[in-house]
Amino acid sequence: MKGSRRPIAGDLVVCFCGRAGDGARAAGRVLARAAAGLGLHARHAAAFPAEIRGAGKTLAYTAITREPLRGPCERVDVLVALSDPLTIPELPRLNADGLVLYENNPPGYVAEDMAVAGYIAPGMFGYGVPFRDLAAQAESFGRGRNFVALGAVAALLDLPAAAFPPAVADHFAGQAETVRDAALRSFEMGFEYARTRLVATHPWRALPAPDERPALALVTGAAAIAAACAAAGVRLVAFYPVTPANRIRADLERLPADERPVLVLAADAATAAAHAYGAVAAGRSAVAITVGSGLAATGPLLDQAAAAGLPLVVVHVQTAGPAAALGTSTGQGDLLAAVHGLNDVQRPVLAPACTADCFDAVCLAVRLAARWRTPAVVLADFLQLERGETVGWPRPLPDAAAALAAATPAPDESWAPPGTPDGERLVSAGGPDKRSGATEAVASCPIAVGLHRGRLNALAAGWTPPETFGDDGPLDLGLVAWGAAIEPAREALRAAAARGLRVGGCFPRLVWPLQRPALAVFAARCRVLGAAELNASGQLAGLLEHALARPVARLGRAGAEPLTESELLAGIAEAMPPAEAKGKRHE
Amino acid sequence: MPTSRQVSEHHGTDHDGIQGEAKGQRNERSDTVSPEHFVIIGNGAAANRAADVLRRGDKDARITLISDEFFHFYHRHRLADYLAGTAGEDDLLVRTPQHYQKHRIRLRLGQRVTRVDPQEKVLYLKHMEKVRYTRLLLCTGGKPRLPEIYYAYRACFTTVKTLADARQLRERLDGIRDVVVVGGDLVSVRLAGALVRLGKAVTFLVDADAFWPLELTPERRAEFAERLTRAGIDVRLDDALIHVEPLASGGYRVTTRAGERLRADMVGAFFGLVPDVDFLLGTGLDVDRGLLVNEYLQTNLPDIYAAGDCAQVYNPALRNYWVSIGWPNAEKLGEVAARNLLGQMQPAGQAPASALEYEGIVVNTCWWRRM
Amino acid sequence: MRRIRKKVSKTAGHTPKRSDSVSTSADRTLPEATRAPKAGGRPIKAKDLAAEKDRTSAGAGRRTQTAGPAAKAAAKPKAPPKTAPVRRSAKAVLKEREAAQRFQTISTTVPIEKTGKVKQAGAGPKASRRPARPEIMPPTTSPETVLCEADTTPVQPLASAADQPPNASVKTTPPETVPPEAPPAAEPVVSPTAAPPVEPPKAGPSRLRRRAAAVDEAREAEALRRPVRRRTRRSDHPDDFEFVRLNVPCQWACPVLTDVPDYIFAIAGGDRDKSYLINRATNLIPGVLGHVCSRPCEAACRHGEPDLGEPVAICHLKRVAADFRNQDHQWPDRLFPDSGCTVGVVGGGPAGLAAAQLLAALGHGVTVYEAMPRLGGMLMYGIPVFRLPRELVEAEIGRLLDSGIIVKTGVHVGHDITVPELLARHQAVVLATGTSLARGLAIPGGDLPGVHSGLDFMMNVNDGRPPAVGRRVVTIGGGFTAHDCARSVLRLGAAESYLCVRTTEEDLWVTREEILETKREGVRYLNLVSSMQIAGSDRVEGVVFARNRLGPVGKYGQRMPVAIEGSEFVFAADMVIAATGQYADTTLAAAAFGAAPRFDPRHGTCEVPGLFAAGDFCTGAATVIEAMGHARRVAQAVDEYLTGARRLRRVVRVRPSADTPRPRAWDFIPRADMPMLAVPQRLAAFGAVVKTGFPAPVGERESHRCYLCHMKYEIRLADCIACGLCAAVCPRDCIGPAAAAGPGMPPVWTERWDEAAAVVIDSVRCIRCGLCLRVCPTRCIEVERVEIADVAAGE
Repeated sequence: MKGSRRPIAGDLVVCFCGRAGDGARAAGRVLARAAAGLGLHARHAAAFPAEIRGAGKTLAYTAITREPLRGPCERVDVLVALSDPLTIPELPRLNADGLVLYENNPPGYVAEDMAVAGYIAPGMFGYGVPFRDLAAQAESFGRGRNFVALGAVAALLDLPAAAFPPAVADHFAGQAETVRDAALRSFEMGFEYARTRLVATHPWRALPAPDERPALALVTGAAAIAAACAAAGVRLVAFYPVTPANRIRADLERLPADERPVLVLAADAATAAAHAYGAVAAGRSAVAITVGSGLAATGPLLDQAAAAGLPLVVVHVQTAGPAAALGTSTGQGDLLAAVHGLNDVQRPVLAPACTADCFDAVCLAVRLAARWRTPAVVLADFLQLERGETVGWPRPLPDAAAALAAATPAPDESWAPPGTPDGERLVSAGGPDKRSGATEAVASCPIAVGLHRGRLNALAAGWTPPETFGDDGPLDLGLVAWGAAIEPAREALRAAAARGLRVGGCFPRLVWPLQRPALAVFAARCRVLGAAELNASGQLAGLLEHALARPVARLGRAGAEPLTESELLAGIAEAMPPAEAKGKRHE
Repeated sequence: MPTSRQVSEHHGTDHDGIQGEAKGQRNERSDTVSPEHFVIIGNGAAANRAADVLRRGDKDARITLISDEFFHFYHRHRLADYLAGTAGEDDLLVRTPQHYQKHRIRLRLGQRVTRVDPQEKVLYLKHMEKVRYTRLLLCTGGKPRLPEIYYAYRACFTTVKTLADARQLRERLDGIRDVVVVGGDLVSVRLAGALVRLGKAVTFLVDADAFWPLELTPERRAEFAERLTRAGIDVRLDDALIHVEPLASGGYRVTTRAGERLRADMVGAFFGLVPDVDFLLGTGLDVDRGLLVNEYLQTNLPDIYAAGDCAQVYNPALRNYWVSIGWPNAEKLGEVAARNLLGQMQPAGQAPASALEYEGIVVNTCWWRRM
Repeated sequence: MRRIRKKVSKTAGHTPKRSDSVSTSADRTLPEATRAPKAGGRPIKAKDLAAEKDRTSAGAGRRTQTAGPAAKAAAKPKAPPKTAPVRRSAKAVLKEREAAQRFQTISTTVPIEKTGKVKQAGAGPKASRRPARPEIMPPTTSPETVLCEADTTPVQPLASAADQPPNASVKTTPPETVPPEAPPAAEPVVSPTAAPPVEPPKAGPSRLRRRAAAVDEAREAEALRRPVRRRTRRSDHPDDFEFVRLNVPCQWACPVLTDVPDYIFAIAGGDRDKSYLINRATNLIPGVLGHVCSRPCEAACRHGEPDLGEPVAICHLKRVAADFRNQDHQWPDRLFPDSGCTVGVVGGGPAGLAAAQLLAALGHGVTVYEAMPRLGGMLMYGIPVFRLPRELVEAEIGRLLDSGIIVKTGVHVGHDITVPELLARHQAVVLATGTSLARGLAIPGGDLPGVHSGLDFMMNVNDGRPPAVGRRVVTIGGGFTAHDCARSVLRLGAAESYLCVRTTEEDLWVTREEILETKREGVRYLNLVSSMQIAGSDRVEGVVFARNRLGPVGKYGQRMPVAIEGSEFVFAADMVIAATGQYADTTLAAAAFGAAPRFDPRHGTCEVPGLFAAGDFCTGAATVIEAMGHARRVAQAVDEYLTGARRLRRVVRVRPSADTPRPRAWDFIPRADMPMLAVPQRLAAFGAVVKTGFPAPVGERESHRCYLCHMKYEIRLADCIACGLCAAVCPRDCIGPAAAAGPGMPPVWTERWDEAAAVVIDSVRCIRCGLCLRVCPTRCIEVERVEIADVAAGE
């Protein structure tokens, strides 16, 4: 127990843990919004089951910091137990002087060890707050426990209460006022309770917000993707948003009417892709959004688009595990499925690493598709969609996208691929050619595929080289990461470098086609090459091995939980070439 | 669900394998090698000493300390120094948190026991957790005593018993100039001294009743007063507070029996401590002022012992019940109680009929003692 | 009725489907709900329930009578109530009206004289047949309908003829799977059966089908309507009394069964007159009790249960009703005409007056003989003025005498007139002279000057002849009298007053509040001491005490003191008051009959015909309210003795009620402290009343704290879709799935919703917050108010 109050340096991570329906995510979001309103950098992320099931455990993390956000933080400073049995397993992640808030007055007695209070280690601070009662007193029908808890957190961390009402209002925008007011009352109840009873005994609090406030907005990946659709001039977005639900549609609907594309809610993923296909065939840029196993359903149309040279863009939300209302969550299992079409067709694949990337990736995908007359796939994942980050907003179109746009013929020109006579539209495989029937059509297939392959190579060659981490010198270990694995990989490498290890990283946003020259250069510097990704088979590792003809260590695993800094660090230590590594460490 | 018993199971069998996780947690945390679970209510000298002795005596037993204070074990008698600014909070700490982890003592801070069920051997905590014990040691200590005649004014009084009290007072200190102190016990004397050193004007009302149930003979009082005066305290001998009222301008107006009207920014009421045992009323435990225990510190119920400031023992030498107060006593009693909990029955011996020495004066009170 | 049960079982069988249909909405709020796929008619559960019902249900013989139509009705697919609000359009309203008409027409066909006869039959002193079980009877059914349904033999052929075939044909869950509760929604169902004449014996299936359809429509209409149409009913079924015992602890704890929730509810509604009358109907002197009652009710109050805060200040609210009512209420009319008998009541204390009042209300001529110049007994001469203002006593007693009671004060029965003479004068005599003799201090020096008995001391003080008090006074004893003495001497000039208790404060009978006030006035307690002897040669100089330790538990649950040898010490004092108990003066009876007659403590009877004893005189020293409760019992015994009939019938009144008016926030209002006079002012004037009483607004606020436990929440299974919302919002874990539940038995709870045969409210834990009611999508939770009342048997 430290005596005087002390601020926490770096990220302050608050974790709300409860059952689905306890409102953990709402609390996390509002906290992040409020922090953003205070000019702090904030990120909120959540791990939760497919909503359609309603059951299960929800973890909502909110990181608040004065410095620009870095990777996800594993350690938790404040743990809010909205459901004791679910929170108990999380306690080991709490910092040594962490803070736990737990329900002070549950409806009935629980046996020893079924309450969080019993696990609070010496040195931690545990405070009981009557979430239920305060919420009930706030007349929110026993709901609103999450906002009571949020109020208590705000008071204990010394965050100004004034920052929250706008955040709450923002969160409940478009919902009944009674709901919002109940939430606000609950918040005040919790804040008041903690301020009067607990603050005096609590030794530490959060850093006060800086005076100069950067122009930051809290944006979720879904919102970024939606905004990107508008920014990239997409005219139609079709989706099959059911299993599991994602918020892109809602965010698209929030767009101002003049920017908003035509939205088509299709009956299934294949139909959604077909809608988009129709639009691009008619010369309008269009995006199909699919989730989970929906990618497979879009496959045939992607191939057809490849053959026909149509810029069909599919934004795919990866979910580990089967979709269709079974347990789904984040994961990076769909790379191969995205890359390899059916009849020897391959597709460009972009994978964002953070919220800003989500925006860029979609813009680039739309643009490169139009420029190179190819379908393209954006591999986002479930967490990226849900996760909110403070980013400079509105975000400008990335330069690369602008460049692509400049090089693209005007949309109203025909989509005819280069080399087709009279610039006439090449009817894709099987379709009757308006001039001389089947033969040419049949003949056109290999042509189309070949052309397409050529375009991909050209595209890869012209692409900006991938982000690298570390110096340009020789490395003991080089780590290639893609998508959601990039941030933990960067943190792990940073930590490893701090320990004196010679490590570096390469983080391509364009995952396929591989930028062979750049990768080859990077690989040449590394004694050991590894790939960090959240799947069991090491899909990128496989592609790299094939492309670079050298073994690639697989630093990854299957699973719902995102990769963490510490496990990657462990992986790095393991993959390090032993002897030299030791030698290097002595230098 | 609807009965408390079932609630636990309800939580247990809740969602996808949560029970498993929670159970796993429990097993790894509280090693259930031995069925013994010693629960100690309190986190003071007696409690901590007892916990150590118990751990030494039984390697595998589960040991739990429950205290409604948020702070770790600290030196109460240094609170005055803390107020005076000569000691920081870290100086108050007796031992580090790691100590408890090392000895596998589960520490439940800021958790209050609301009920004891001796038949079921279950403690009911404020946050609705049931804790089963096999043997229970009550070291709840004391709480500030306020004579009922002053109840009407309890909002106006300041007492300093816990670190939390001290903290609050310390935050207010700057706004305090004049202090009136009523009653009289060790804390008040130390505190008055500290306040004087901080340059506050302290008026001390010393009444015959100050130390009830002990009575100061007039000469004792005079001597006592004389000492205080030497310490720079303005003493009103044989005068008492009969009325306090808060002033609109802040602060209070104190009316004394002698008809004097004093203005004060703070009115300290120090009538010693009374055992904090109210929550035990109705459990079947013998409670008078404190917990009635025999020479083995056993209460009238099996497997429940008491030690420290909350235990009330009959003292033949005084032909009276006695509550032995003070750090050394508490530690001694805590140790004895722990030994007896472990089965080796040894009598506590007589707590000294506390004719206590304080700066040369012998003041007879069972409620406080020099530490 | 029977049909209703079938219907219930059917719907219970359907429940899972319904829950599925709404699960998406329920999921978010209550994951478990989704795991209720196969609830209801599982064979095992079914058997349990059936067994349970057979055990509990009345008139099992008539089971089969009316099974058919319901089965039909049940067979008819019914829209899930979820959609009900939507469909509650003109069509629904039409259905309602139709149903209503059908109900009226049919129910009016119940032959009136039959109902009347039935009433008589059912209402006799010992009615052989009791109404069917309230729980399983649709609350809408009044006793009349039930009874006549029970008695109409003509029903039999029709019903049985009518019901067997469809019962066989329709495939529903077997009749065993019958959850015990029945939906009042089914009210209209009852009426058709209750109306045999309108149906010719051989009812073809077609008519049955039509009736079934009608029934179904009626039920739907009923389910849509809220509050459901019901009538007040009375019940004397043991289960109902049990329900009150468990659920309305305050009323049950009161010796005179004051309807506590009801009068607090009245205060909350601002109607203090009504509140006062409700009080007065049973406890006669609410104002007085508001000052001095020992409050067994507050000890029982649910609000005081662990983790629920502090009990409601019931007693002080009683006083609020008395303080702020309009004056001069009229006493309610006599219950019975003049019986021509006269009764002599000896003693004008609480017991005597309570007996006198009830006897007068029962139509007897009553004469009260009081030895002292004024009525009131201990109220007037025992309790000091600063605890109980005398004008209040006089006012309330005066009003109590309105019912034509003759009072003879200054008559000392035993000297001026003997008991046999009284017996000759009256048909019955009730001895209620209380405990008028003080138990002396049987220790050496107990007779020294300066040693007083508490009782005499208080009587002198209250009579205006206070003895001179010493400077340092020791009062021995821990009862109300002892406290009164210890407090009085301080007012009479003593400098120090000590109260010497043999055990600890925890064991004292007086209320915590009393102890606190006593201490605040400066009285000090010497606990764990026994007086050994009074020190002093010619007058008191002190008391020799021995320290005690707590010994075994005594027969009243209090700890017995055990003196520690060698612990004697002298405690200086110049006055000693021994308030160590008092006992009844049985000589006045003994003188007449040789030996003192031994009275039966329950009804106060004895071997001498016509001679009764009431209150403390019979039971030994007790509290005012206990004495009054006993006296009322005795009065009924007297009445039975005089008329040969038990003319007061104790029933549970069940009244339909709306939702609770209480917002949840009221559950968190802290108990209001009784404002007290500042100590100096108390000591300045002896008569200064210490408790100044709640101001009206405070009283109203305090009245809001009452949970209104007399409200009875029940889930109407017919309409419950097991969505689990109620359980989700329930602030206390009192709603949940039960594997089996039935009237009179505690529900068999289960964690697993797929085992659930019913969603049940555990009314013993329920705090009547009404949240469940407000979130219920099908409005299937209904509320009744129950209370115990003594009604004239004829009614």
